[in-house]
Amino acid sequence: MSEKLRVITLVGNPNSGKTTLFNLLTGSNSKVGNFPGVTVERVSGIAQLPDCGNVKLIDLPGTYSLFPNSGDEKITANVLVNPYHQDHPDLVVYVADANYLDRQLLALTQILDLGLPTILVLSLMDEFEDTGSLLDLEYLNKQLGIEVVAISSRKRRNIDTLKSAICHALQHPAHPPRPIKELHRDALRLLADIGQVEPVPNLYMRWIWAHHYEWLDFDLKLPRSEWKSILQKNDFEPLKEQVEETFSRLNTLEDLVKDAVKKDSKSQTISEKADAVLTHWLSGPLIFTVLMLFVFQAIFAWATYPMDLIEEAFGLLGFWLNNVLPPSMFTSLLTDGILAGLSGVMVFIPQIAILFFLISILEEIGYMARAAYLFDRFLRRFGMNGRSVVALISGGACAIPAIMSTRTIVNWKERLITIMVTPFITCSARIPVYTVLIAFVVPYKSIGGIFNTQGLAFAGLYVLGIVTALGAGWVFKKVLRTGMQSFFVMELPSYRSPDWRSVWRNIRSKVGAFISEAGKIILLVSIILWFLASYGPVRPMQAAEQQAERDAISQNLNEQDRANLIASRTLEASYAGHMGKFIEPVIKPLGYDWKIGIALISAFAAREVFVGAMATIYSVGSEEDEFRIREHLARQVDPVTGEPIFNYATALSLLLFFVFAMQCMSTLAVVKKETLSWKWPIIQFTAMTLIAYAAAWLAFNFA
Amino acid sequence: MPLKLSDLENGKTAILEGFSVSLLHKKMLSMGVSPGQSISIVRRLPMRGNLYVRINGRALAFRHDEAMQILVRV
Repeated sequence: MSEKLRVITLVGNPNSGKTTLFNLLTGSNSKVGNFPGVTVERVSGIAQLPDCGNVKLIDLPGTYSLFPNSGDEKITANVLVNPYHQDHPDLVVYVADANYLDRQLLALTQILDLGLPTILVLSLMDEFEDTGSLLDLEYLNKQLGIEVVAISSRKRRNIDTLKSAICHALQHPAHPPRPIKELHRDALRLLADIGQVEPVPNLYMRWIWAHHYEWLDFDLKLPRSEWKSILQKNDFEPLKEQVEETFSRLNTLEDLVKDAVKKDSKSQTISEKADAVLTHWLSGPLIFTVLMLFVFQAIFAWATYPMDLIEEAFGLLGFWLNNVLPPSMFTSLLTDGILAGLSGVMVFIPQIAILFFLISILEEIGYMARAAYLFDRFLRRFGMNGRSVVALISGGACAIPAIMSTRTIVNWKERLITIMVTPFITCSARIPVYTVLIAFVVPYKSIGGIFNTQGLAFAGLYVLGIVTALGAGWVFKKVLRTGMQSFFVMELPSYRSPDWRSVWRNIRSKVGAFISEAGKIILLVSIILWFLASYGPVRPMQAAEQQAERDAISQNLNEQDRANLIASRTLEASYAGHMGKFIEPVIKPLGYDWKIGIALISAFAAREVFVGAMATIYSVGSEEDEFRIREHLARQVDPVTGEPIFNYATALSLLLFFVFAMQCMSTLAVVKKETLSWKWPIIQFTAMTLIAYAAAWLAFNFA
Repeated sequence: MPLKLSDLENGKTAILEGFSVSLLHKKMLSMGVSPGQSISIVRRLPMRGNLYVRINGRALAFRHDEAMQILVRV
């Protein structure tokens, strides 16, 4: 396949039905990547067209016009006005929602003036016809000078017609006869000046370059400084020009649409009726809260089965490998290092998948925009933005995809604060730790048959996480200075049924992000930890093992307990044991001994590793049984004082430490990636550790 | 007399006159919102909270601060 595929870009407003059409045309042949240098998703795929074979399809970020406001919209502008861009289209397929034609065509008129071969697709025709409205396609076709196809992606209507139209347009690229907006005399003079050095033939393209020369991502022939002086010499006033141009284009469109569309305006649409309740100041937040309780209930209820299954499968696999392979360093690495790491990655996937399944549906039907509207005022007090809602909810599964979802927040400060505070939200890795520790702090008691004390304590820790996230946001807001004004303005799209392909693609991309960002690191750290825990200075290790053997005999231990004792003693003599002892002075004031120190270091791979590490250190053997771990911990006594190590104060101290501490290497790596600097993850790690330390110290000393 | 959008009564229809901040003007223009279009407040959240606004039939959410920078004529 040496021949380059022809490139077709899909362009349209946000919520125009563009992505649904993209999914329909490419089927499963799509790929999500990034545009070079920026964190904007680049979705591309191959479409097979019966009349002209394979073509490459690019789904450009939704945009209202070629005067962009956000980074996403800049990408679209860059691709369209840069003839040398790898994604510069051979054909633009412009998608517009037939129901809102009057305001969906602004960017189309600009693209036509750029001279790019284009066809217009009117989407959501089924909805449009349901309202009893009529559309004159021929009139649109004649006025715009391009092919117009009306489709319904949901009902699969006219998709084949569209495919043929694409091929036809590729083979016979039609250029509109005249610009939709004529440039005025002064503009033409300026463009003639520019044309002497920038010989791109299309005048409107030169005009857009003049507007955007400061941030266009390709090398213009004219240096930026000379652009500036030419524009100044010609008294170019960008805002005035943009106002005048947009006004004129919107007027043209208004006339066009008035003549082409006969609308049957009904009194109140379904969206309006739904919004009367869903965006109401009182019922809105209430419904949101109930919805979120349902979402998290669903995660817990549904995810348990696949999670148990995954853990069991890995357990069995490890057991089997241990039996068939000869005992060796390699076997140990495979079962205790690699398999343990893989299991630690896989076990989170069900929760992440289920959470993003539900969030994607809410996003697809248009509800998330309402949630942003409802909570913007509240979150702004804490330095965030209505759109931070998505990240904060997602943080309930895993901070990594949550932090990546902040890309939709345009204002940098609000986005940064959201990134910084999201790790305070209780993620799924904290749950096993809470489960083990909570019993030491709160004795089980049923309250009124529905609730119990431990369940409430659990909920309390969640609330503590949320409150801390908000408080931290408030502090960041006070500390970070910025002159940038933040805008919120956003469209509240009409409610519509979800496109399941998009939901599926979103789940895939979120789980994929987790596996590639966190998976690698969790696996690597697991292997390092395995090494640290299995190896140590040779002679002391051997001595410890022999001593344990002797003790086992003298204490008359059975086979299982003997193995557990040896594991525990060799761990003490290992590098990990040395590290635990090394940090003991630091964690002593929190009530932790070196054994807990080892577990804390281990937890840096992923928090839930803490439980397994504790099981090994306290020679419980099996980590399956929370009850057994708890029993064992309760029996531990301080060798000097004879007091139990695991008392109320220590457990509470540990619990609080886990609520606040940034014990996740993968999250730090992702924060670095998203903020493009080490500064923020370092600040985040330091601040969270200090808060955790202070809280744990207070708990231990005053509890 | 032009009125601030934030001072417009809920449910009353007005005509969009302009913007007192050029950055907002730019943003609105690029979203296809321009002077001359009809505008009304559908509902608002309490304590100078966000506004649910309809412009030419389309639903948009604004912050109270932003609504103070939008001029309308009844």
